[in-house]
Amino acid sequence: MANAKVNKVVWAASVVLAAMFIFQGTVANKALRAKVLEQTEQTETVVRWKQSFKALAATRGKWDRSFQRSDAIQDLVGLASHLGLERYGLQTDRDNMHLLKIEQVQQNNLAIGLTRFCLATGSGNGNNFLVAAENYEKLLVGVDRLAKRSDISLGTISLEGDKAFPIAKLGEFCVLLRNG
Amino acid sequence: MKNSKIVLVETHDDLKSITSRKTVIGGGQLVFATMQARVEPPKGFVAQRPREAAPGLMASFKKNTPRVYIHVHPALIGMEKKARFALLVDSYLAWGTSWARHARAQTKGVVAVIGGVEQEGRQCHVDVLVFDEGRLVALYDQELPERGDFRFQAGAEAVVAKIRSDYPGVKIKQAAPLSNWDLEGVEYIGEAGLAGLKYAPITRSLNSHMEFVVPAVVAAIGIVYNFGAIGLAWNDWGSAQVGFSEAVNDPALRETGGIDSAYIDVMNQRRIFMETPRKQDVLPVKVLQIVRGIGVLPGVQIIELRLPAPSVSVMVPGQSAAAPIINADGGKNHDLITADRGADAQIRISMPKSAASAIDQAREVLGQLADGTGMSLRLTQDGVAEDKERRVFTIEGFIHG
Repeated sequence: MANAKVNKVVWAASVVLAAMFIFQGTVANKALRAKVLEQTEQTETVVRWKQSFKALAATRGKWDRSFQRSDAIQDLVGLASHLGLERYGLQTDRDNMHLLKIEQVQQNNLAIGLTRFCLATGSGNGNNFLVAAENYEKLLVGVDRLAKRSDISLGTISLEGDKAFPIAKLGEFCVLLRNG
Repeated sequence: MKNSKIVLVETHDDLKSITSRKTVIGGGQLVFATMQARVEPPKGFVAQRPREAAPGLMASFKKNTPRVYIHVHPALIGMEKKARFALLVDSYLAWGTSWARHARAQTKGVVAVIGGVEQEGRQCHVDVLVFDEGRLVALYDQELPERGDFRFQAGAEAVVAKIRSDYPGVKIKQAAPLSNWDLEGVEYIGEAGLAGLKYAPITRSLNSHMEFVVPAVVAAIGIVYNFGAIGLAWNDWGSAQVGFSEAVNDPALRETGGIDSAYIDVMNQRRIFMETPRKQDVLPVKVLQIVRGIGVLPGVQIIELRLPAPSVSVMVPGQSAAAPIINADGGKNHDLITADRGADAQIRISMPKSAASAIDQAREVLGQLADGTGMSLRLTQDGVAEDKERRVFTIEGFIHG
């Protein structure tokens, strides 16, 4: 008549077994949940990044259209033809064109992959880029069209009237070319 | 026991008389009870759940708790549909081990209960249970001659005498369904001894599978929980991984070679760079407006025009009287030209000298120029120079909007 004993052993065993399974299941569940959470967070990071990337698609296109690659232009002659002043009815002293400085464009202290090639004309220490036209009207319309180009930057415009024909002195005149 | 539905059975033959559903109290030859676990029951008798024979809820968990091992006649098996069984021995045990206060008064010390079954024309079956402070210490049964037999009285007295010699000082009670035998020193408690009567399910076998069903279910619940907990989480993890690989499998990601937050930052700054309004977008237009405005003045000549003005000519407080400001729109924007605001344009023009004084001519010229260009204008300090024929005015312009 060890039945009662057997019964108790069976009971104890089943309770212990159930407890073990429940404990192990809970632990495993917790571990897996943590993994799921981690994975989901990573997925969300990717999704967020992709959303940002897509939102910036227009910017990418505009960027590529707005700026010429710098390695496509070999020298000053290339730079001059890239400027294409003739298209705006402007003349300049091509032979005396020189580079004042080359610098990286920073936006909010971040290099944005754009190089500024600043130009000046004339011999000596002239810091201005001089353009000329038949009259003020043509000169300024041409300068206006030039200044509207996003790959051209200019800081100041000065006119000098006591010359044979109207000349505009463009200060801080630079051409912007993208690095890659 | 008055209820006709309750039947007392003590032999195999008694069972045959049960035809309709009745409550049956089993005793006599149908039940074999012993305190010894290893005693061999009569052939064919079926083991039942052992009873704990000590007071207290925890009795069944204590190792030294006395137990009553009960076996029932095989004829009882299969009678479940016809009858509900209660066993006499159970009710005596309940009485002896009761914790109820009124019962404890009776069962204090060593107490013996004489119970059993007596019926007309039959041997009398006697069960003797001895309790010590509620714990069963002895259990045995005995057959006595039938009640009418002349040897009965001697047999009954012998039972009492045996109890007395085994347990000196014992209190002896006699319980129903026996009738009161009026033995000396024996108290008849009658049906009080049956107060604890309860139905006892008759099991076919202690080893029946049913015994293990509940523990098995408990274990199974644990296993099911385990599988469920892991399985569900595993599914979630699987779908999370699928979601991730779907998110990653994208041409944009391959193009940039992975998640590059620096790329997004640079792109954002490029966007801001391209969207930021540039002064140069309006500068040539303003220059042209000024040139046109100047052009209407008779005999005028532009000496110099600079946009923006060289930022040296900041107005010094106290000089405002000497350098009056002429506004195009009747002074509406006068307050915009604060002392620390630099001029937007510097204009130097040469004009034929008029009959008026230099300041008056300047005022007139500035007025016409302001109307023509929409700017606020003022003469700079020492802004007038003149020779015999011409005057040269140096003017600062402020562009609004």
